[in-house]
Amino acid sequence: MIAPPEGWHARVHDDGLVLTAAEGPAAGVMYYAERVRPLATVRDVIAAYPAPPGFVLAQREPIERLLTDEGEHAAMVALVGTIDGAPVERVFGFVFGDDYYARLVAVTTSPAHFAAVRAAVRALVRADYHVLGKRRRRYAYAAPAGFQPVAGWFDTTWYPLDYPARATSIVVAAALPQQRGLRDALVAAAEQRRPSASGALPEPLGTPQRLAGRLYTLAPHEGLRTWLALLEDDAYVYPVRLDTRATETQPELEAFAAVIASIEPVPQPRATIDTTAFGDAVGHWTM
Amino acid sequence: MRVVVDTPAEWLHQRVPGAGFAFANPARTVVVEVGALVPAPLDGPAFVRAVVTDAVGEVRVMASATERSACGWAYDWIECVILGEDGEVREIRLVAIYQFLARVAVIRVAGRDAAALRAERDAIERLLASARPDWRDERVAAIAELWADDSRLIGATRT
Repeated sequence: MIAPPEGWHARVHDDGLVLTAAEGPAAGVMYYAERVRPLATVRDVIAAYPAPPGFVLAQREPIERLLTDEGEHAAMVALVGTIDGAPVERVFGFVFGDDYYARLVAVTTSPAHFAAVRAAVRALVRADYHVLGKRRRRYAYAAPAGFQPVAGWFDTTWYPLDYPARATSIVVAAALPQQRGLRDALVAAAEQRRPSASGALPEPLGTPQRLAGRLYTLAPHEGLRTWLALLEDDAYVYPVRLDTRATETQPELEAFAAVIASIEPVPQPRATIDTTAFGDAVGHWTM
Repeated sequence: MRVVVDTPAEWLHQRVPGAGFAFANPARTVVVEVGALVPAPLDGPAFVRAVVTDAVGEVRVMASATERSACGWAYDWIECVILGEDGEVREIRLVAIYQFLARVAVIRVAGRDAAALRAERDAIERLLASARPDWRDERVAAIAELWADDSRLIGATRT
Protein backbone atom coordinates (compact mmCIF):
# COMPACT_ATOMS: atom_id res chain seq x y z
CA MET A 1 0.00 0.00 0.00
CA ILE A 2 1.47 3.30 -1.02
CA ALA A 3 0.40 6.86 -0.40
CA PRO A 4 0.61 9.14 -3.47
CA PRO A 5 3.36 11.73 -3.14
CA GLU A 6 2.14 15.22 -2.43
CA GLY A 7 0.86 16.88 -5.59
CA TRP A 8 0.47 13.62 -7.50
CA HIS A 9 -2.94 12.56 -8.71
CA ALA A 10 -3.92 8.95 -8.05
CA ARG A 11 -6.59 6.77 -9.56
CA VAL A 12 -7.33 3.10 -9.13
CA HIS A 13 -6.80 1.11 -12.29
CA ASP A 14 -6.94 -2.63 -12.86
CA ASP A 15 -6.22 -3.70 -9.27
CA GLY A 16 -3.46 -1.12 -9.04
CA LEU A 17 -2.85 2.57 -8.94
CA VAL A 18 -1.89 5.07 -11.60
CA LEU A 19 -0.16 8.17 -10.25
CA THR A 20 0.33 11.25 -12.39
CA ALA A 21 2.57 14.18 -11.51
CA ALA A 22 0.90 17.52 -10.91
CA GLU A 23 2.89 18.99 -13.82
CA GLY A 24 1.43 16.39 -16.15
CA PRO A 25 2.38 12.99 -17.58
CA ALA A 26 5.67 14.19 -19.05
CA ALA A 27 6.86 14.99 -15.53
CA GLY A 28 6.01 11.50 -14.42
CA VAL A 29 3.49 8.69 -14.50
CA MET A 30 3.72 5.76 -12.11
CA TYR A 31 1.99 2.42 -12.21
CA TYR A 32 1.71 0.51 -8.94
CA ALA A 33 0.63 -3.10 -8.61
CA GLU A 34 0.50 -5.14 -5.44
CA ARG A 35 0.79 -8.88 -4.99
CA VAL A 36 2.22 -9.66 -8.39
CA ARG A 37 2.89 -13.38 -8.75
CA PRO A 38 5.04 -15.34 -9.13
CA LEU A 39 7.91 -13.83 -7.24
CA ALA A 40 10.55 -12.91 -9.80
CA THR A 41 13.95 -11.28 -9.95
CA VAL A 42 14.38 -7.62 -10.81
CA ARG A 43 16.33 -8.63 -13.91
CA ASP A 44 13.54 -10.89 -15.14
CA VAL A 45 10.78 -8.39 -14.44
CA ILE A 46 12.41 -5.47 -16.20
CA ALA A 47 13.31 -7.71 -19.13
CA ALA A 48 9.69 -8.82 -19.53
CA TYR A 49 7.89 -5.57 -18.67
CA PRO A 50 6.54 -3.80 -21.76
CA ALA A 51 8.49 -0.70 -22.69
CA PRO A 52 6.80 2.44 -23.98
CA PRO A 53 6.54 2.34 -27.79
CA GLY A 54 9.78 3.41 -29.42
CA PHE A 55 11.84 3.17 -26.22
CA VAL A 56 15.52 2.53 -26.92
CA LEU A 57 17.54 1.50 -23.91
CA ALA A 58 20.85 3.29 -23.48
CA GLN A 59 21.80 2.09 -20.03
CA ARG A 60 20.49 0.01 -17.20
CA GLU A 61 21.83 1.38 -13.99
CA PRO A 62 22.91 -0.93 -11.15
CA ILE A 63 20.11 -2.40 -9.08
CA GLU A 64 19.86 -0.54 -5.78
CA ARG A 65 18.96 -2.69 -2.84
CA LEU A 66 16.53 -1.13 -0.36
CA LEU A 67 14.57 -1.96 2.78
CA THR A 68 11.09 -0.75 3.54
CA ASP A 69 10.16 0.89 6.81
CA GLU A 70 8.54 -2.40 7.75
CA GLY A 71 11.79 -4.30 7.19
CA GLU A 72 10.82 -5.93 3.90
CA HIS A 73 13.40 -6.43 1.17
CA ALA A 74 13.07 -4.01 -1.71
CA ALA A 75 14.98 -2.68 -4.69
CA MET A 76 14.89 -0.10 -7.44
CA VAL A 77 16.56 0.31 -10.78
CA ALA A 78 16.55 2.97 -13.49
CA LEU A 79 16.56 2.38 -17.22
CA VAL A 80 17.88 5.34 -19.15
CA GLY A 81 16.97 5.62 -22.81
CA THR A 82 15.27 7.58 -25.54
CA ILE A 83 12.08 7.73 -27.56
CA ASP A 84 12.57 9.31 -30.97
CA GLY A 85 15.90 10.62 -29.73
CA ALA A 86 14.41 12.39 -26.71
CA PRO A 87 15.58 11.31 -23.23
CA VAL A 88 13.33 9.04 -21.20
CA GLU A 89 13.75 7.43 -17.82
CA ARG A 90 11.96 4.35 -16.62
CA VAL A 91 12.35 3.67 -12.92
CA PHE A 92 11.26 0.40 -11.34
CA GLY A 93 10.67 -0.10 -7.65
CA PHE A 94 10.02 -3.42 -5.94
CA VAL A 95 8.98 -4.70 -2.54
CA PHE A 96 9.43 -8.44 -2.13
CA GLY A 97 6.97 -10.54 -0.15
CA ASP A 98 7.26 -14.26 0.48
CA ASP A 99 5.66 -15.39 -2.78
CA TYR A 100 4.75 -12.15 -4.51
CA TYR A 101 6.08 -8.68 -5.05
CA ALA A 102 4.78 -5.15 -5.34
CA ARG A 103 5.90 -3.26 -8.43
CA LEU A 104 6.11 0.45 -9.07
CA VAL A 105 7.02 1.59 -12.58
CA ALA A 106 7.63 5.26 -13.30
CA VAL A 107 8.07 6.82 -16.73
CA THR A 108 9.36 10.35 -17.19
CA THR A 109 10.06 12.19 -20.42
CA SER A 110 11.05 15.47 -18.81
CA PRO A 111 14.76 15.52 -17.87
CA ALA A 112 14.03 18.30 -15.39
CA HIS A 113 11.99 15.77 -13.39
CA PHE A 114 14.25 12.73 -13.62
CA ALA A 115 15.86 13.24 -10.22
CA ALA A 116 12.59 14.05 -8.49
CA VAL A 117 10.88 10.96 -9.86
CA ARG A 118 13.74 8.73 -8.80
CA ALA A 119 13.54 10.21 -5.33
CA ALA A 120 9.78 9.73 -5.30
CA VAL A 121 10.11 6.07 -6.32
CA ARG A 122 12.72 5.48 -3.62
CA ALA A 123 10.51 7.12 -0.99
CA LEU A 124 7.40 5.23 -2.10
CA VAL A 125 9.19 1.90 -2.02
CA ARG A 126 10.54 2.55 1.46
CA ALA A 127 7.10 3.53 2.71
CA ASP A 128 5.21 0.75 0.93
CA TYR A 129 3.23 -1.02 3.66
CA HIS A 130 2.27 -4.66 3.45
CA VAL A 131 1.75 -5.37 7.15
CA LEU A 132 3.22 -8.85 6.84
CA GLY A 133 4.62 -8.76 10.36
CA LYS A 134 6.81 -11.33 12.02
CA ARG A 135 6.45 -14.66 10.29
CA ARG A 136 8.24 -17.67 8.86
CA ARG A 137 10.47 -15.93 6.42
CA ARG A 138 13.38 -16.39 4.05
CA TYR A 139 16.59 -14.45 4.55
CA ALA A 140 19.53 -13.39 2.42
CA TYR A 141 22.69 -15.48 2.19
CA ALA A 142 25.31 -16.40 -0.38
CA ALA A 143 24.67 -19.56 -2.35
CA PRO A 144 27.37 -22.20 -1.90
CA ALA A 145 29.74 -22.30 -4.88
CA GLY A 146 29.51 -25.46 -6.95
CA PHE A 147 26.05 -26.34 -5.65
CA GLN A 148 22.64 -26.07 -7.31
CA PRO A 149 19.35 -25.37 -5.59
CA VAL A 150 16.15 -27.31 -5.25
CA ALA A 151 13.85 -24.52 -4.20
CA GLY A 152 10.83 -24.88 -1.97
CA TRP A 153 8.46 -22.14 -0.92
CA PHE A 154 10.49 -21.34 2.17
CA ASP A 155 13.38 -23.81 2.34
CA THR A 156 16.04 -24.42 -0.27
CA THR A 157 18.21 -27.52 -0.46
CA TRP A 158 21.58 -27.13 -2.16
CA TYR A 159 23.19 -30.12 -3.87
CA PRO A 160 26.66 -30.34 -5.39
CA LEU A 161 26.65 -30.41 -9.18
CA ASP A 162 28.07 -33.93 -9.01
CA TYR A 163 25.49 -35.16 -6.52
CA PRO A 164 24.97 -38.01 -5.59
CA ALA A 165 28.59 -38.96 -6.27
CA ARG A 166 29.34 -36.20 -3.80
CA ALA A 167 26.56 -37.08 -1.39
CA THR A 168 26.14 -33.82 0.44
CA SER A 169 23.25 -31.41 0.90
CA ILE A 170 22.83 -28.11 2.66
CA VAL A 171 19.32 -27.13 3.71
CA VAL A 172 18.75 -23.44 4.32
CA ALA A 173 15.46 -23.37 6.17
CA ALA A 174 13.24 -20.37 6.77
CA ALA A 175 13.83 -18.14 9.77
CA LEU A 176 11.28 -18.85 12.46
CA PRO A 177 9.99 -16.25 14.91
CA GLN A 178 11.51 -16.69 18.35
CA GLN A 179 9.39 -18.71 20.72
CA ARG A 180 10.19 -20.27 24.05
CA GLY A 181 11.46 -23.81 23.50
CA LEU A 182 11.83 -23.43 19.73
CA ARG A 183 15.56 -24.13 19.63
CA ASP A 184 15.23 -27.32 21.67
CA ALA A 185 12.30 -28.45 19.54
CA LEU A 186 14.32 -27.99 16.35
CA VAL A 187 17.23 -30.02 17.73
CA ALA A 188 14.87 -32.73 18.94
CA ALA A 189 13.21 -32.87 15.52
CA ALA A 190 16.58 -33.30 13.83
CA GLU A 191 17.62 -36.04 16.26
CA GLN A 192 14.40 -37.99 16.41
CA ARG A 193 15.31 -40.31 13.54
CA ARG A 194 18.70 -41.09 15.09
CA PRO A 195 19.26 -44.26 17.09
CA SER A 196 21.15 -42.35 19.76
CA ALA A 197 21.33 -38.79 20.88
CA SER A 198 24.26 -36.67 19.92
CA GLY A 199 27.26 -37.18 22.16
CA ALA A 200 29.04 -33.94 21.42
CA LEU A 201 28.13 -30.74 23.17
CA PRO A 202 26.99 -27.96 20.83
CA GLU A 203 29.70 -25.53 19.81
CA PRO A 204 29.15 -21.78 19.97
CA LEU A 205 28.72 -20.03 16.63
CA GLY A 206 29.11 -16.40 15.65
CA THR A 207 28.84 -14.68 12.30
CA PRO A 208 30.18 -11.45 10.77
CA GLN A 209 26.55 -10.29 10.61
CA ARG A 210 26.32 -10.48 14.40
CA LEU A 211 24.19 -13.57 14.59
CA ALA A 212 25.07 -15.98 17.39
CA GLY A 213 24.05 -19.55 17.96
CA ARG A 214 25.17 -23.12 18.30
CA LEU A 215 26.41 -25.87 16.04
CA TYR A 216 25.04 -29.31 16.87
CA THR A 217 26.81 -32.45 15.69
CA LEU A 218 24.28 -35.23 15.41
CA ALA A 219 25.15 -38.86 15.92
CA PRO A 220 26.12 -40.49 12.59
CA HIS A 221 23.42 -42.74 11.21
CA GLU A 222 24.03 -45.38 8.52
CA GLY A 223 26.98 -43.42 7.13
CA LEU A 224 25.14 -40.11 7.14
CA ARG A 225 26.73 -37.31 9.15
CA THR A 226 24.68 -34.29 10.07
CA TRP A 227 25.40 -30.87 11.49
CA LEU A 228 22.66 -28.47 12.52
CA ALA A 229 23.40 -24.78 12.94
CA LEU A 230 20.88 -22.69 14.82
CA LEU A 231 21.66 -19.00 14.65
CA GLU A 232 19.59 -16.55 16.58
CA ASP A 233 18.82 -12.92 17.14
CA ASP A 234 16.15 -11.37 19.31
CA ALA A 235 13.43 -11.96 16.75
CA TYR A 236 14.27 -15.13 14.81
CA VAL A 237 15.96 -18.53 14.77
CA TYR A 238 17.83 -19.39 11.55
CA PRO A 239 18.20 -23.17 11.00
CA VAL A 240 20.77 -24.47 8.52
CA ARG A 241 21.64 -28.13 8.13
CA LEU A 242 24.45 -30.10 6.52
CA ASP A 243 24.08 -33.77 5.62
CA THR A 244 26.91 -35.70 4.05
CA ARG A 245 28.13 -39.19 3.40
CA ALA A 246 31.57 -37.94 2.39
CA THR A 247 34.50 -39.56 4.15
CA GLU A 248 36.45 -36.32 3.86
CA THR A 249 34.17 -33.85 5.57
CA GLN A 250 36.40 -30.77 5.61
CA PRO A 251 35.30 -29.38 2.19
CA GLU A 252 31.67 -29.96 3.10
CA LEU A 253 32.06 -28.21 6.45
CA GLU A 254 33.80 -25.32 4.71
CA ALA A 255 30.90 -24.89 2.25
CA PHE A 256 28.49 -25.07 5.18
CA ALA A 257 30.50 -22.51 7.17
CA ALA A 258 30.53 -20.13 4.19
CA VAL A 259 26.75 -20.23 3.95
CA ILE A 260 26.39 -19.66 7.68
CA ALA A 261 28.83 -16.74 7.66
CA SER A 262 26.91 -15.05 4.84
CA ILE A 263 23.47 -15.13 6.51
CA GLU A 264 21.94 -11.72 6.95
CA PRO A 265 19.55 -11.26 9.85
CA VAL A 266 15.94 -10.64 8.90
CA PRO A 267 15.59 -6.84 8.73
CA GLN A 268 13.67 -5.31 11.54
CA PRO A 269 10.97 -2.68 11.05
CA ARG A 270 11.59 0.90 11.98
CA ALA A 271 11.04 1.39 15.67
CA THR A 272 8.21 3.85 15.08
CA ILE A 273 5.82 3.79 12.17
CA ASP A 274 5.42 6.92 10.05
CA THR A 275 1.79 7.51 10.90
CA THR A 276 1.26 10.06 8.16
CA ALA A 277 2.58 7.84 5.39
CA PHE A 278 0.87 4.77 6.81
CA GLY A 279 -2.42 6.60 7.28
CA ASP A 280 -2.32 7.98 3.77
CA ALA A 281 -1.53 4.57 2.32
CA VAL A 282 -4.23 2.75 4.21
CA GLY A 283 -6.68 5.61 3.82
CA HIS A 284 -6.43 5.57 0.09
CA TRP A 285 -7.19 1.88 -0.14
CA THR A 286 -10.09 2.05 2.27
CA MET A 287 -11.86 4.93 0.57
CA MET B 1 14.13 -27.71 -14.38
CA ARG B 2 15.38 -30.11 -16.98
CA VAL B 3 17.72 -32.96 -17.73
CA VAL B 4 21.15 -32.07 -19.04
CA VAL B 5 23.13 -34.44 -21.25
CA ASP B 6 26.46 -34.23 -23.05
CA THR B 7 26.16 -34.94 -26.76
CA PRO B 8 28.74 -35.20 -29.50
CA ALA B 9 29.34 -31.73 -30.91
CA GLU B 10 28.28 -32.68 -34.42
CA TRP B 11 24.90 -34.04 -33.36
CA LEU B 12 21.85 -32.00 -34.26
CA HIS B 13 19.69 -30.44 -31.56
CA GLN B 14 15.97 -29.78 -31.72
CA ARG B 15 13.17 -28.96 -29.28
CA VAL B 16 10.27 -31.36 -29.04
CA PRO B 17 6.79 -30.94 -27.56
CA GLY B 18 6.43 -31.55 -23.84
CA ALA B 19 9.33 -29.49 -22.50
CA GLY B 20 11.89 -31.95 -23.71
CA PHE B 21 14.45 -31.86 -26.46
CA ALA B 22 16.02 -34.23 -28.94
CA PHE B 23 19.28 -34.93 -30.67
CA ALA B 24 20.05 -36.78 -33.86
CA ASN B 25 23.30 -38.07 -35.22
CA PRO B 26 24.45 -36.38 -38.45
CA ALA B 27 23.16 -39.29 -40.56
CA ARG B 28 19.80 -39.01 -38.74
CA THR B 29 19.72 -42.74 -38.23
CA VAL B 30 19.63 -42.36 -34.43
CA VAL B 31 17.40 -39.97 -32.52
CA VAL B 32 17.75 -39.34 -28.79
CA GLU B 33 14.73 -37.82 -27.09
CA VAL B 34 15.33 -36.36 -23.64
CA GLY B 35 12.11 -36.02 -21.70
CA ALA B 36 11.10 -33.53 -19.04
CA LEU B 37 11.82 -33.91 -15.33
CA VAL B 38 8.46 -34.93 -13.93
CA PRO B 39 7.25 -35.90 -10.45
CA ALA B 40 7.92 -39.55 -9.70
CA PRO B 41 4.80 -41.58 -10.50
CA LEU B 42 2.97 -43.35 -7.70
CA ASP B 43 2.90 -46.55 -9.75
CA GLY B 44 6.48 -47.01 -10.91
CA PRO B 45 6.07 -50.32 -12.80
CA ALA B 46 3.06 -48.97 -14.72
CA PHE B 47 5.07 -45.90 -15.66
CA VAL B 48 7.92 -48.04 -16.96
CA ARG B 49 5.51 -50.20 -18.97
CA ALA B 50 3.95 -47.09 -20.46
CA VAL B 51 7.19 -45.47 -21.58
CA VAL B 52 8.52 -48.70 -23.05
CA THR B 53 5.40 -49.84 -24.84
CA ASP B 54 3.92 -46.60 -26.16
CA ALA B 55 4.90 -47.40 -29.72
CA VAL B 56 2.49 -48.67 -32.33
CA GLY B 57 3.32 -52.28 -32.89
CA GLU B 58 4.55 -55.19 -30.86
CA VAL B 59 7.30 -54.45 -28.38
CA ARG B 60 9.81 -57.14 -27.55
CA VAL B 61 12.21 -56.45 -24.66
CA MET B 62 15.66 -57.74 -25.57
CA ALA B 63 17.72 -56.70 -22.58
CA SER B 64 17.60 -54.59 -19.46
CA ALA B 65 19.97 -53.47 -16.76
CA THR B 66 20.44 -50.96 -13.98
CA GLU B 67 23.34 -48.55 -14.43
CA ARG B 68 24.85 -45.59 -12.65
CA SER B 69 25.46 -42.28 -14.35
CA ALA B 70 28.79 -40.49 -14.12
CA CYS B 71 27.37 -38.48 -11.20
CA GLY B 72 26.05 -41.62 -9.55
CA TRP B 73 22.36 -41.38 -10.42
CA ALA B 74 20.73 -44.80 -10.87
CA TYR B 75 18.90 -45.50 -14.11
CA ASP B 76 17.14 -48.49 -15.61
CA TRP B 77 18.09 -49.24 -19.15
CA ILE B 78 15.83 -51.28 -21.41
CA GLU B 79 16.49 -52.33 -24.99
CA CYS B 80 13.55 -53.40 -27.09
CA VAL B 81 12.51 -54.09 -30.64
CA ILE B 82 9.33 -52.69 -32.09
CA LEU B 83 7.80 -54.95 -34.68
CA GLY B 84 5.30 -54.11 -37.38
CA GLU B 85 2.20 -56.12 -38.26
CA ASP B 86 4.19 -58.37 -40.56
CA GLY B 87 6.81 -58.94 -37.90
CA GLU B 88 9.32 -56.67 -39.53
CA VAL B 89 11.58 -54.56 -37.29
CA ARG B 90 10.29 -51.01 -37.30
CA GLU B 91 12.64 -49.61 -34.73
CA ILE B 92 15.26 -50.58 -32.21
CA ARG B 93 14.69 -48.59 -29.07
CA LEU B 94 16.66 -47.98 -25.90
CA VAL B 95 14.81 -46.47 -22.98
CA ALA B 96 16.62 -45.11 -19.95
CA ILE B 97 14.57 -44.19 -16.89
CA TYR B 98 16.25 -42.04 -14.29
CA GLN B 99 15.28 -41.34 -10.71
CA PHE B 100 16.42 -37.87 -9.68
CA LEU B 101 15.39 -37.33 -6.05
CA ALA B 102 11.58 -37.06 -6.18
CA ARG B 103 11.45 -36.76 -9.97
CA VAL B 104 11.97 -39.02 -12.91
CA ALA B 105 13.06 -38.52 -16.47
CA VAL B 106 13.07 -40.71 -19.54
CA ILE B 107 15.57 -40.72 -22.37
CA ARG B 108 14.54 -42.64 -25.47
CA VAL B 109 17.02 -43.63 -28.12
CA ALA B 110 15.48 -44.75 -31.40
CA GLY B 111 17.59 -46.36 -34.11
CA ARG B 112 16.51 -46.94 -37.69
CA ASP B 113 18.00 -50.39 -37.40
CA ALA B 114 20.36 -52.40 -35.27
CA ALA B 115 23.36 -51.40 -37.36
CA ALA B 116 22.65 -47.70 -36.81
CA LEU B 117 22.52 -48.18 -33.06
CA ARG B 118 25.63 -50.32 -33.08
CA ALA B 119 27.53 -47.66 -34.94
CA GLU B 120 26.65 -45.04 -32.33
CA ARG B 121 26.78 -47.32 -29.31
CA ASP B 122 29.70 -45.63 -27.56
CA ALA B 123 28.27 -42.14 -28.05
CA ILE B 124 24.88 -43.28 -26.78
CA GLU B 125 26.34 -44.90 -23.69
CA ARG B 126 28.34 -41.77 -22.91
CA LEU B 127 25.25 -39.63 -23.41
CA LEU B 128 23.11 -41.78 -21.12
CA ALA B 129 25.81 -41.80 -18.47
CA SER B 130 26.11 -38.03 -18.62
CA ALA B 131 22.46 -37.34 -17.76
CA ARG B 132 21.97 -35.15 -14.71
CA PRO B 133 19.33 -32.78 -13.40
CA ASP B 134 19.40 -29.03 -13.62
CA TRP B 135 17.05 -28.11 -10.80
CA ARG B 136 16.66 -24.45 -11.63
CA ASP B 137 13.08 -23.43 -12.34
CA GLU B 138 10.98 -20.32 -12.08
CA ARG B 139 11.13 -20.35 -8.29
CA VAL B 140 13.54 -18.01 -6.59
CA ALA B 141 15.96 -20.27 -4.74
CA ALA B 142 17.70 -17.65 -2.64
CA ILE B 143 16.22 -14.22 -2.11
CA ALA B 144 19.54 -12.54 -2.86
CA GLU B 145 18.72 -13.45 -6.48
CA LEU B 146 15.88 -10.95 -6.40
CA TRP B 147 18.09 -7.88 -6.39
CA ALA B 148 21.27 -9.42 -7.84
CA ASP B 149 22.74 -7.46 -10.71
CA ASP B 150 24.53 -10.45 -12.12
CA SER B 151 23.03 -13.93 -12.34
CA ARG B 152 26.52 -15.40 -12.21
CA LEU B 153 26.72 -14.33 -8.58
CA ILE B 154 23.99 -16.74 -7.64
CA GLY B 155 24.42 -20.47 -7.33
CA ALA B 156 26.56 -22.83 -9.20
CA THR B 157 28.48 -22.29 -12.35
CA ARG B 158 27.71 -24.91 -14.93
CA THR B 159 29.41 -26.52 -17.82
